[in-house]
Amino acid sequence: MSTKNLSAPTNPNSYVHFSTGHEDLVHDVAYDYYGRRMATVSSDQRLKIFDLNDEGEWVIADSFKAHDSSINKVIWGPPEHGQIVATCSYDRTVRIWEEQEMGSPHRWKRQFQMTSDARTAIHSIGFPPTLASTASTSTGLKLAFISADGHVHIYECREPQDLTHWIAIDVVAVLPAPPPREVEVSFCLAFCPSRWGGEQLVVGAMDTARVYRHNASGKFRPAEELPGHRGLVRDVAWAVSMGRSYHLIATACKDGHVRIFKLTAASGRGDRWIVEKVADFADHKSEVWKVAWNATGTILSSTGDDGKIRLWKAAIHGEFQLLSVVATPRSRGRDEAIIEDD
Amino acid sequence: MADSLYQQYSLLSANPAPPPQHTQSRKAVFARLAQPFIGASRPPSSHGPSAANAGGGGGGGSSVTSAPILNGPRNLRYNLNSPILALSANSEGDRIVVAGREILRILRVGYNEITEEANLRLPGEQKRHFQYDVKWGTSPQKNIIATAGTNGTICLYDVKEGKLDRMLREHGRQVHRLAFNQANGNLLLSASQDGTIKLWDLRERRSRHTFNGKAEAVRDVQFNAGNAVEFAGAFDSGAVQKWDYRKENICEKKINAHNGPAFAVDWHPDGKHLASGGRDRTVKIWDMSADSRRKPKHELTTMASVSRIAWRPSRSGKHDSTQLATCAINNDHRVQLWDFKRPYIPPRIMDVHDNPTTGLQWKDEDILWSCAKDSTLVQSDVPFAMQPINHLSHGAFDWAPNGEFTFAAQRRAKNRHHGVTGSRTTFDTDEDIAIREERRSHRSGSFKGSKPNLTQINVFDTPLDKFVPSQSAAKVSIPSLFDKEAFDFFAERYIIDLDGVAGGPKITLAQACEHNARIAFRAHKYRTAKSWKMIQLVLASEDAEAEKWQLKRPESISSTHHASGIVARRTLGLNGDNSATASGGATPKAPPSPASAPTPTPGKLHPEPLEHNLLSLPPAAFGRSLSSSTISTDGEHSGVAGSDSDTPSHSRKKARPVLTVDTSSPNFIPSPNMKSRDFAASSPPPKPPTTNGNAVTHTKRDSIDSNQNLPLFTSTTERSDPLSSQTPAGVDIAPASKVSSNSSSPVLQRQFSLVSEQTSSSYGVLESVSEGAVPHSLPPITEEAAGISQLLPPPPPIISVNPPPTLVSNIDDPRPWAVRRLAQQLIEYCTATGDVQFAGVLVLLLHKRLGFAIELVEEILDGYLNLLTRLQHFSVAALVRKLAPAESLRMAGQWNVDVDLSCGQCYRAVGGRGGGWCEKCAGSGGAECVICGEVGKGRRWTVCAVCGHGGCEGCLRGWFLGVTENGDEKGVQGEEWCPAVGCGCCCLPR
Repeated sequence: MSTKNLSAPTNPNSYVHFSTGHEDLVHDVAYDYYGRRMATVSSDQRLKIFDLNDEGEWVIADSFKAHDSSINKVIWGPPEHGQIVATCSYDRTVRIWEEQEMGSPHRWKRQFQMTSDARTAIHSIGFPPTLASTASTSTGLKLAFISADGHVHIYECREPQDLTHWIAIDVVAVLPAPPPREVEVSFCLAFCPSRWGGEQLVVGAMDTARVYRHNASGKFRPAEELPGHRGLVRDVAWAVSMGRSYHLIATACKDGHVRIFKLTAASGRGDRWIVEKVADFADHKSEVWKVAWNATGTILSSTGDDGKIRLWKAAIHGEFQLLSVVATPRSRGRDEAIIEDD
Repeated sequence: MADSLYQQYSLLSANPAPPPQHTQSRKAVFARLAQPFIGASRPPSSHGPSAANAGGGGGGGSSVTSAPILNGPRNLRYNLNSPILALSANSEGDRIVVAGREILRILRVGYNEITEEANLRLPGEQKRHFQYDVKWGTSPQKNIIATAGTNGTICLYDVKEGKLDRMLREHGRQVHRLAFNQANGNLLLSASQDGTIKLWDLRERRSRHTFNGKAEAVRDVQFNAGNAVEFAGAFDSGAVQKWDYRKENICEKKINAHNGPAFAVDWHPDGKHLASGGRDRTVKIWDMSADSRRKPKHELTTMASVSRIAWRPSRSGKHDSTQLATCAINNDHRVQLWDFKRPYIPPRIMDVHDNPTTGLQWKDEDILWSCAKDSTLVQSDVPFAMQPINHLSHGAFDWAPNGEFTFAAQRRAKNRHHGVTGSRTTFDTDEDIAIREERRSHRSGSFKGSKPNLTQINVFDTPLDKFVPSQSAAKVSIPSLFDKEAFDFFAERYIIDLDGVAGGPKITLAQACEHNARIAFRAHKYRTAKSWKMIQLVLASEDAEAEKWQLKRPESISSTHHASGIVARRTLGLNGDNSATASGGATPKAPPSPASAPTPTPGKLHPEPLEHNLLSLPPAAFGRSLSSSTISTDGEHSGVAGSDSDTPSHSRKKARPVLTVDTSSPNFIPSPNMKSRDFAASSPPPKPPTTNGNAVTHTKRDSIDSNQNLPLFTSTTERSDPLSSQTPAGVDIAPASKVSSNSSSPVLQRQFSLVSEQTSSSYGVLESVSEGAVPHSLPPITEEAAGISQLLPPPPPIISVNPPPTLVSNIDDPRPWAVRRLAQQLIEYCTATGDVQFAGVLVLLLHKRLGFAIELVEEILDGYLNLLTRLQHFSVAALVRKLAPAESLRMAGQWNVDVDLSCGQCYRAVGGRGGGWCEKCAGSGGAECVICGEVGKGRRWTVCAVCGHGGCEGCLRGWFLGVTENGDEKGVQGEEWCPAVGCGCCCLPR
């Protein structure tokens, strides 16, 4: 073992530009489980896979047309099932892609395609965590997606060795009625990353956000609402709890606000949770589109129409504060990116 | 923002309209449909009376209009109660004919209303057939309407007379499309399923020409508005052909345009380019004058089979349009407007139909008519239609497990114009408004029928100012967000394995804490180090208490006590080689010697000797580490320490839980920190006179650092005392830096004193507390403990407000410094701040002693395991999993894991049968040993993972290790090369 000593953290902030090569807006990026690969999806209907090279730069590995319309979201499957990517699109499909062995004509093969019954655009997808309690009995791989008619669909692949067979196991209507056709819609969902306590889901549907939990029969039922949204909920993110006694959920809203909700288990039985809004920021001063928690669930990022990334972190008393603002060169009108530490 | 929009459209819909006369359900539907087709709009929340009124009627051919609003969207909808299959407008653009099954009606369309003008009677025989196309004649046949039936008959109606004029029956099968020549309305083309296109001169009885494309059925045909002798057809084979109607037998140009049938063609007004669409869901733009026939000039992908294409008329009559509208045969009921400048995101989408759209025609650059199988004719005001770009995120973001992130972001070009109060428009950008106003000011009759001007610049030949994505993407690393270096460092070096499960030595809890504290110190994580230290001390205090009990009852002394009995000592003689030793404890005044007797130090217990690491610490850090180092030893050591002492305090100390201080170093500084307080009698602590002033500094510092790790433990044991005259600082550091212990290097001294000042200012308060709280005489245990407790600042509110339900519930020890309580607070704090590594290691080490709630253990360790795996510390993760006190975690690696074996000889998978031997090779007894040549079946077998050669374990032991089968030394040195002849593999590199 080396006897290397750590120097005090003096590494400067690094900002490595790269070109995605997409011909239109990139709508989502996703790291794989290990952070060594990345998938990007764009309105140009392409899915691109990047690998990290030794210099820490992204090098494109694959690029192929994955859908017939703008692709909303991309996620990596759980690592135990291999290299799996799921995408969803305005072309009303969810597609499951699996990497094939070296030398295959197409490195990424489409293994399955799902649609909603109403044949509407799919706005978001999510893989639930592999629950610890079911690990012994089920090896299934599940996927949830939400369609523009306001339904969350849960599919399961019973034998993930063969990703070409999925069955629908649950459908939850999250709106009383599908939104009218001409209305601007927004839907998003995120699973609770905890592997204990059953599956939990937070769904943003139009201008509401609500938590859904499994009932006794294993179907999702509505639970607490996260109140206070005055516009379409654009994104939801559920923080890794890491043994905390509470959960944190962040929402991005069209009204320009980033909100953080704290869910604390109510004393007494009945699986009741107390929802408390612990942060509400309007710093973007424009629509907020994305929120994401870091790997330890302590730093929240938000992305808005102002072209800036804001990072939020809880101070010692649990109060969230702005940590830094990352601005893109163009949004600043300068040649170099600015990382403002707060 | 959005609310104002909604309000606005509630207002719009509340405008008066023709009185309702129809069923409620229809009303509800049309109340909704009569909404302007704006993406961001929202229907009235309830279908109240006003909303229903706005909806008006629906059936019976009454018109549904929105009230005339100046500058408002001119969206109109008209229900014909029968599916519509085609529409066509006259060249003035004020009348539309719609055709379907059993219907053929002429509607008058104004800006604000649609009214029915005539209902043409179909001839009896045609009533059974769908009319798949209808076309209004052009000059000089402006009063003629032609329809194409499924039976192949073309009917010509006279609009003025309102009756059928004549029927043209030459096609054997269905006629798909008709086209009048814009320059000479006497010329009519018909495209048929029978594979032919016929040219008709309406002044003649029979068709003039028949063009045979030899490419299966003809789906669409259209005259070139720019060159009236040319026309193009779309064929089922996917071909697009260009013909000159004067040359019946020569096809001028053939393009294999589509994969699958081509359904639609539309000439660009410039007369040179043609758009074609087909079942392959693409729209392609072809240069029909150039020779290049292979590749389209532009291509865009839609979601469904393209059934109709209509170029948007360009502004101010220039033929520079890059936009076209499409509709689909099925799957997609929307009308989409595309722009070749930005081929992926349609600028507008008109979601106005409930069934497939069957016909499209532009009135002018803003107004688009569409008809559908849902029986409606809709006039859409395109600049008010939904803009998909507004529903699409301009940013993307994701976190990597190591705290880096990658994002793509772009500032949205212009803020959306959310219909400011007063203005009823909902243009999305200011630019749009400007354009529209400009257009309104000099509106020209740019209806599609107008003659093209070929002298215009061709937009397809000039470099199109194509959309270039201006999102910038970057990978960002902000080290302060997550110290991956430290995580890696700790992951590999923290001691988590007390029992030597992984093959390491057994170690006591206190030694592990001590070690971990050192590790944290080396990573400059002072607060983490202090936290470890604190745990160690508290453990020591508890153990000492237990020891006291045991002293009272000597018979109860057990080996377990020995293992966990902790006496922390303060050594200052961190001499380079056995810094941690408290070595040579026998003679307090003995100079530190590298050769002093080796003692079981934590450093030695660990594979990586600590002292070497300490050596390379930078001086500043070292200075602090010197002053803070507290070395734990096991019970054996404390015995030595006790026996060697000749001071009365030592003898008493043995019975006390207070930490012994080793005086072995000549440079021993009796600095008055809390551990050495019991030394106060023998060596009075040199007290800085400015203690009280320093207290302020200390608190300030504490608050500043509150973001750092564990402010809880800011004031722990570390301190140095620069003011002590007895402290030869330079000498103190000297042994570590291999300088003679007697020499005091001025440089070092200066360095050290700098550090000392710093530390003394921050910890001055500690001294005052200890001075105040603890009398100089040896205090009883409880007071000692109280001294510790006073050192602890109150826990952060986040902890005290929310006592975790998952944490240990039965806190039997009410004292705040109880290990259980401390650990609980630490874990609370660490999980809140995301230091799951510390929490995880703590849980691993202390669970046996404290018994945390299993849920907590699972969540924390799962979090730690996840991070370890994601950051690719796989072996550490495996160890954590092995040590995990939760079965669900331990078992996880054993569930659903298949281990497949392959035969060492034939490399085939070894099945379950054959007793683990390859079925094929088992017949011959399995593989042969490379040395003795015997078959391997039934023997202990070893295989080189690299070359695959293997043999009996005994043979290979002899070969590689030089031992006999019984394990006796042969006296021969083992080989490192493969025993197989000619293999050359270095199986066991040394």
